[in-house]
Amino acid sequence: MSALYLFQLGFGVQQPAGIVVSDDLMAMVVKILFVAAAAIYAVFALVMVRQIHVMRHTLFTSLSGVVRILGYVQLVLAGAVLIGFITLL
Amino acid sequence: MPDIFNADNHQLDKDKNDAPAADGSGPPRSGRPTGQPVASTETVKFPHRHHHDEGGGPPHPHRHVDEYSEVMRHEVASANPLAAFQPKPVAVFFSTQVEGEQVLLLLRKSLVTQVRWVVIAVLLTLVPVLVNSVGMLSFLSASFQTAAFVFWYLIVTGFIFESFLSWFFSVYIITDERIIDVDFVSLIYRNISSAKIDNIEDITAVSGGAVQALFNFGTVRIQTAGTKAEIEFELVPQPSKVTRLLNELILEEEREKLEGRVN
Repeated sequence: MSALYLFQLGFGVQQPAGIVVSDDLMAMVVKILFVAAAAIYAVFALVMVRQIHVMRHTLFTSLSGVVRILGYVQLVLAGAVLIGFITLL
Repeated sequence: MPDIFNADNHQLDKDKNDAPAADGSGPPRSGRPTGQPVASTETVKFPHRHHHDEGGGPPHPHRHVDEYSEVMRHEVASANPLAAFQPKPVAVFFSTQVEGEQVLLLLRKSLVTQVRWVVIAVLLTLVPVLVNSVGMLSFLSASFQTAAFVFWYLIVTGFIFESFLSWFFSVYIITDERIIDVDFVSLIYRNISSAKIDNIEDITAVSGGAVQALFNFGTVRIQTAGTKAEIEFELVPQPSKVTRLLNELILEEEREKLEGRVN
């Protein structure tokens, strides 16, 4: 059993019924849409990291370091999703 | 002697390099980050330390806040960085803080006001379960369905984080010299307003509605004689206590002025 199959099982993803987007062109279009959306979100995550930097220098608190780390974690996740969409879909 | 309180030294949108202390007069206080320039508007009034005798006499000692403020006397220093009402906050600094300026109270919007986006986030988290149960995405292949769910949860994470950041960094600060309103309206728009305590002309605490009365939060409106006529501390906890503290600070500023003249 592949990791993807187990992941889908965990999510309860249903096997497609009815009309399935199996046509190569439609699949490519859908993939492009997913990749574009992921790219936009990655840009958003990058902006958020930059703004966290600004916020931290406006107001410095004991939680500032944690916030910065969370920002970078989100950026890494966004990048990983983008790469995953490009390579796995 | 350089005028270290000249606001022109602190045009953050002109200065593209890391600055030392906010007054530009030397290295920053240890543990406090240097100021960062951003392309945003900022209105800052720097206090003249009027309790310093400009005629050449020795500076008059600044009284500790517990000596003149009954409000602060009964408050314990707050070490909880997530609190909406932080008296004498520990390890809190802000970019325009001058040397010797003490943060007395750090305020944020009451936690009750954040319930709405928390509820929205919980509902958004449940959307994929609902979608999957009705099979709305069954026209997509299994891999695309998985991708859709993963992307959805990424967006929800971003929404939660952005909402938290807006609340966490939008603060109202009362120091022994000034009041500061730091507003991050969205991720990319920042507005900082400040006014000297002795420029405050009128303070009004407004608390309306059952929820505000029940959870003791409201808006404190501060009329000032400065460029920005009114500063609002929106939906902050214990507005009456904030008002009392401001009144005590105003009285202390007047006392310092009087003692400066007499001495």
